[in-house]
Amino acid sequence: MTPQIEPSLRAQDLDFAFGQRKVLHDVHLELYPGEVLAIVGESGSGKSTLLRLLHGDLRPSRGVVEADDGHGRRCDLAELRQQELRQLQRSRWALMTQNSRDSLRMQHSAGANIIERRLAQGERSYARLRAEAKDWLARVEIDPDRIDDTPQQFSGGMLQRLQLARVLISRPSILLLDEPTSGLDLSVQAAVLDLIRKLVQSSAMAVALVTHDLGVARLLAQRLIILQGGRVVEAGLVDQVLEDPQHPYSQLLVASVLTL
Amino acid sequence: MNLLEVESLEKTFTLHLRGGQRLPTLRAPDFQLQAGECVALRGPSGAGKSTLLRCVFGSYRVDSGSIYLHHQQQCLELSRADSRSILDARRWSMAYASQFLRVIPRVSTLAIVAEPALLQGKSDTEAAARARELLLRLNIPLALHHLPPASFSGGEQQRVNVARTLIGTHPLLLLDEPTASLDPANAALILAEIRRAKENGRSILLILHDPQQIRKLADRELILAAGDACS
Repeated sequence: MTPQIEPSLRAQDLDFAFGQRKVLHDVHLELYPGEVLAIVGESGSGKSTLLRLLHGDLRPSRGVVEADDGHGRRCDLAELRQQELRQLQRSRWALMTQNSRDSLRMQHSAGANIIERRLAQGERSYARLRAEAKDWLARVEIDPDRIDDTPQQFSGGMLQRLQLARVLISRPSILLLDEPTSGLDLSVQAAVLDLIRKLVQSSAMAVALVTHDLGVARLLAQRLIILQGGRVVEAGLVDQVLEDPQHPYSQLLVASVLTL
Repeated sequence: MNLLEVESLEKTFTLHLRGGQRLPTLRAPDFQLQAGECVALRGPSGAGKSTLLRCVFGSYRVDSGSIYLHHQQQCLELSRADSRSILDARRWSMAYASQFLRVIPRVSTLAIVAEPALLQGKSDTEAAARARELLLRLNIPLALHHLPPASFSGGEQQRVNVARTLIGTHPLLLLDEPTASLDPANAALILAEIRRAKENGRSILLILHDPQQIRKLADRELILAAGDACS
């Protein structure tokens, strides 16, 4: 009965520990093309670590992460050679981290940051790259005239949007977002949410979205999982989990939301 | 063949933050809905009318009973279906209008209304044309179409919400008080659109309070009794 579409990414039975401290227990999730999965939970519940496992930056101590390689083949991340993994991370998959300064090249211009993945994809025309970079700056609501400025002159919210433009330009098939709108003022947040929504619809990206903001999860995601202490305590449709939470922790989270 | 069949449906909320207090909210009478049929839910506040709609749409998980939906030439049991099957049913077979419009701020009204048609594979042009036509019929003037609905009046937002629910080809429409905050003229526009949907063979399960509106629109009523739900 379920539509016969293969997930773009599947994580099964994931455990992960930093030394003796176990961070994730028995996590299972799937990302499908054209869908957003929200991952919510308290600070320290393992959300960001989970994204790094899904991106292949960390290896699980138990379990498997399988992802689409962009050619319709599924690969086990643990079995990829380092070079293959890097190549996929630069082209088909994308991770937007919480700390923009770690991901951006702060000494290079905004434009150079944005086009890096297009260069990796083989685009060589300077004029086209510059036009694309300007277009993406405008899409994330940064003045395209700032293309030659270095990110050091940008505010935190601008860095976040620059990072988003930098990953979205390559049209990744799997997009992992860690708090993509947390530092943004509300009007820019709305624009960024709309941009992501349109791209998911038009390009069938599969998105995992880590967020503290249940409102953001509600508007952008179709499905949602709640992590507590590194375990998935509840999973389901976003409206199901937010309107009819079953687990005590989910009920506490939903009851704690501020409304206008 | 029934489009929708509901059997022995019960829903209780368990409030873990209140020491596990159990709140029985719905015990629905069995019913079926056929193609082109309109059924109005009635009953006092707290009888579980909205709860029933949300159980059918999959927003609430049910404790016991079954909800059978005719979906893509098959019978989908919604109360046991996985998330992706429910999403597929929402894309093609059932649409729901809550009492409140919940959308990404800054997105235009036209884009909000067109979205379900786009998800059903309509082209941008086709979906936008259909959205424009529906909005105009619901008395939302052209000048407002490119604006986000956040600045609209409650009644305008409600009509946007109903337009968004009607634009697709979903055979089942679930409408929670579609005329609640509307003046008689605008309520009549909504009722006319619902009647048009019914004449096109779509089935409607809705909550209405005005007996006159019910008489004009619904084929029958389904009474939910508060006593049933709370006993």
